[in-house]
Amino acid sequence: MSDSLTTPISATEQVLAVLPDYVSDVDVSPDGRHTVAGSVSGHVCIAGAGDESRIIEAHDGDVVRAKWSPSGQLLASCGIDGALRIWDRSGSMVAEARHKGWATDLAWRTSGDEVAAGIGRHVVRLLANGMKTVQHEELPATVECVTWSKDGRRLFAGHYGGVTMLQGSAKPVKTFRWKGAPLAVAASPDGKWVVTGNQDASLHVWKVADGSELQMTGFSTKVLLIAWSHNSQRLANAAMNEISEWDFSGRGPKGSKPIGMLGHSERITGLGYSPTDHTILGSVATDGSVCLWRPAKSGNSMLHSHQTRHVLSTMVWSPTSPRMICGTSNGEVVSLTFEEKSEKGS
Amino acid sequence: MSLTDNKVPVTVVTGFLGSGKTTLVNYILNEQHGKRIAVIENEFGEVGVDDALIIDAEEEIFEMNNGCICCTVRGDLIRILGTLMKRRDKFDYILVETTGLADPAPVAQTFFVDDEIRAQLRLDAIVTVVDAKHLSLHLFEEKAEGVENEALEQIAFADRILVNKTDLVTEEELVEIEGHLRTINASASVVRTHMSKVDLDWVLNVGAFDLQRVLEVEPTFLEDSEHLHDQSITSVGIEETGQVDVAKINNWLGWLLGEKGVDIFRMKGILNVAGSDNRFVFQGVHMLFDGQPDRAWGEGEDRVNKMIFIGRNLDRDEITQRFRQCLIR
Repeated sequence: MSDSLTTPISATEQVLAVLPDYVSDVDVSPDGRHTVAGSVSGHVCIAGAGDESRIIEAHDGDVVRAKWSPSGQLLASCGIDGALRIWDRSGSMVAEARHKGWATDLAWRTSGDEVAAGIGRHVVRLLANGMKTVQHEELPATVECVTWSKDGRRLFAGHYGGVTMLQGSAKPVKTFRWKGAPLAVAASPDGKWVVTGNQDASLHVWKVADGSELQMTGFSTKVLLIAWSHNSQRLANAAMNEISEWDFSGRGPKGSKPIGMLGHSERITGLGYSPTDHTILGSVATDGSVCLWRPAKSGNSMLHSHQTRHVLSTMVWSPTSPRMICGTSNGEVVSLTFEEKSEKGS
Repeated sequence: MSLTDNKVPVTVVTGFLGSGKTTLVNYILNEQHGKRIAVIENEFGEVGVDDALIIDAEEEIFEMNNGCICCTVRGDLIRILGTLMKRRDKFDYILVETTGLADPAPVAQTFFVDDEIRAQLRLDAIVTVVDAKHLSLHLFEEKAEGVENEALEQIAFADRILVNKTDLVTEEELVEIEGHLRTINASASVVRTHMSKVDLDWVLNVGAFDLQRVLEVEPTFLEDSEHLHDQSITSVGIEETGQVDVAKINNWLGWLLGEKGVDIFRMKGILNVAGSDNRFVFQGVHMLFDGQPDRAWGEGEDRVNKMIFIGRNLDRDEITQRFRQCLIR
């Protein structure tokens, strides 16, 4: 099996685990061997390669996020109970932080075993040894999304009113102000841009260096999903059943038109560039459809489409192989492995 | 929004602190045996029934600037409702209890603006509880320029009004209160209650935002009602026979939403559009408008254009005159 895909492609489905209810988040460990999934039932499931899956009662109420640490030794979860918890691979809790309000998002720092979560109006940071590093000041509104810069120096928190940039001190370094409600935030891997997907059906883009901003509007619905390509040259976003890809090479996307991609018939719930073939963008939707794209300015961008029987609720790529892990509204954790079809047939 | 789909209904309960909102919510929870009800409350209430899910929320208003339409929505509600709708065991009913000082507009607008909520939930009605004993105090309260009188707004937005604590006032006072309420809001149904006890069919599954039920309650148009001395919120009703010209009525609606949208809290109407045998029904909250062709006019049915606008500083003559210009002579 090669890491790079060319058509024709086949997809193999496998149910890895079943949780009691809607899967709100999935993640794959850096070595590609372990999957974690969180459910609105409050459970987190750890499924290893070959092992039986282990289900832990992680939160009182919905699990919002569940993510592996960069080392793959730990995982973090947060929920509407206002708790942020770090677990080891066997499912034992190793650290916990709580705050008033619901947790909305979490992100591991790329360096070190530190995790940040948005809980209520606070960004809470926690180390695996249980230490809370920086106690950041309360932000002006509920934190909807958090992300780290790739170098781990900066933390961005999206909230109504803009994006606040945090570093090592309690006070924010800077707030990129804008009168709107961000729902998802992503910093480009090169650290140059920070982008939010918003409630008012727009994307808002800031150049981190000087705070200059851009806005892309006209999407059919709010924008919950955004994804950067590994080289920061391209940004994809999804609104309802439509994907757009923006060219961030050179001077950026100002004045440019995106590549539009239509293949799903319902709401897209997962979007991301394949870590093993950077030219491929993957997406899943509530209609059960899974699409692979190779975005092209002219001609057809669709590389492959696959229909599952599930209402897909979220998706993540395996970092090591052409494999997607999806969550479903019924609690299944489904793996989809893509392979080139043998020309000869079998 | 239609009652025949599988959308979960949401009733918004408003009213001043001490009016009996929480009593009403508790009453509904106690009477609705076997139904799974979620309550989202914004002030420290004493809602408590074992099998109901109670969520404390902190009101968070987002101003949205969506192209030419500006409106406010409740960010906390979007978050909470979005989460609730993911669960497999969906709720049969959702009650949202606002704070006593809440403006109902952001709550209502949330159900128009957020696509995920719109797809899964149905705003059923806004129910306002008023305290018969203290209502006059709130209505006549002098507010500084630019400060909203929330008591008035909650009445203006209502589909159902409970005049509660009737035991504390006289019959004459009740009649006077009901007169005031009708001047402000001619399309809401009003009922007198004690301890917020009310027929549940009267407050739940009302379908007040259902286009098919627009103007099911015949508005009471009081032509020359006595005005409260500081009465800037009123109802303007239009009832005119004749066909309206499509292009002209579109212009009129554009003018109305653009120029008066900020001041119009609620609107509902049925139009007799030239060239169509179907009624055209519409309703709206501020600048958010929802309209569609409805059933065919019945044989022998009077094809009358009927509309009601509830809002602040509405010029009855201006609105009526401009509407008449849309009629085909």
